[in-house]
Amino acid sequence: MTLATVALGETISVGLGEIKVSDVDFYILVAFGLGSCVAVCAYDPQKTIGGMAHIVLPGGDHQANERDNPGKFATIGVPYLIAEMERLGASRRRIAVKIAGGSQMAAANGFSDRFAIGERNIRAVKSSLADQSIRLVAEDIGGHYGRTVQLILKNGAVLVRAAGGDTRRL
Amino acid sequence: MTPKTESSTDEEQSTLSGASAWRCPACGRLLATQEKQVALRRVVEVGMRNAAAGLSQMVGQEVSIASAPMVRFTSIWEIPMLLGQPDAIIVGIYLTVFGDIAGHITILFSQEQALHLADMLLGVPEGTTQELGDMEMSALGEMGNITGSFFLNALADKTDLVIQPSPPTVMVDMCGAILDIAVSDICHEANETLLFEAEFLMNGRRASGYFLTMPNPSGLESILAKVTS
Repeated sequence: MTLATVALGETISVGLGEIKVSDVDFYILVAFGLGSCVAVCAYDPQKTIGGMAHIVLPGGDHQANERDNPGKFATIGVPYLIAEMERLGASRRRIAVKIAGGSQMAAANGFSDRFAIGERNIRAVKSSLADQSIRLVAEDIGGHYGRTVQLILKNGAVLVRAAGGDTRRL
Repeated sequence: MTPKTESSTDEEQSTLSGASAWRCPACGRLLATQEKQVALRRVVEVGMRNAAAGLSQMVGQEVSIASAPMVRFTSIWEIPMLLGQPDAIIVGIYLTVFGDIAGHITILFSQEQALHLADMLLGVPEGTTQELGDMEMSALGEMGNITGSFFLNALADKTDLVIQPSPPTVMVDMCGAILDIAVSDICHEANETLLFEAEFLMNGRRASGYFLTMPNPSGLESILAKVTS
């Protein structure tokens, strides 16, 4: 890891199906070990307000019952994330989103993932962002490997560390 | 997640202490009485011992399971943290379970243990394997195939259900990312899962590997309906 990819600050873990939003600029929101899941990282640079959703599925039949896990489905997680940021004072015109994740893990050995969850998660996140008129400015998606994703609230940088590989800055 | 304890009915009364009935956290419906849980634990233990015996035949060394396998009803959100940091790089062997029930088998090893296991599987002196190439990955896949089949055969035998494993996929990747395969499929239907968990011991060495099985919620109901004490 080079110096440019070392983040300093207090790490806040964003687990499966969770959404975390903050305006504390020394926080770093982190989703560890994403496979088919997608980390949606939203940031308002003027107000230094950032948020992350750890999306597990594109959508589903039981979404109305998921009050405890607002980030489980892309279809409700993305609007929820944006609404929470607006509540803190962010403006949807300024919010820029970077996404990472959406791998197809079991396809690594030519054995196809029967539901292609990773790909469907990415499509659902993108269409939900478009519905909300939110700008998608960067992505690191797909492939057959895991990722750890950090959103640094100080500057909105997103660091993506690939399994056994390099850290990329979005 | 601790299963909810409700005021017990006659059906749930059990001579065993420390256990309570499993209920659906969303609707409160009874999933398994304590008697059913005891019966299920026995079946899982037979299955895990069978899997260990299969592996033992394959490597020509003694393989056993550490104490009794764990059978518990747990929140799906805790699964990626089972082995510590979800982004620790480990070796995982994954099999989809299909047939009368759907589910997932994930076998996890530390990288060091996987190299050690590859030595045993390929019949070379300990310490020979330094990295996992095609041959080593294929041997680990076969190991997953054998243990998965042996476990499912025992389960099928005790429940009269037709249960088969898919071909294995071997991954060297982040623990959470590997477990995402099972987690994302199960959480279509529920936020809780039944977890069968055993630790293999090879030549008495602890923490050699974790064998995890998670039936899908509908599969869980089929299994519980069929096991009897």
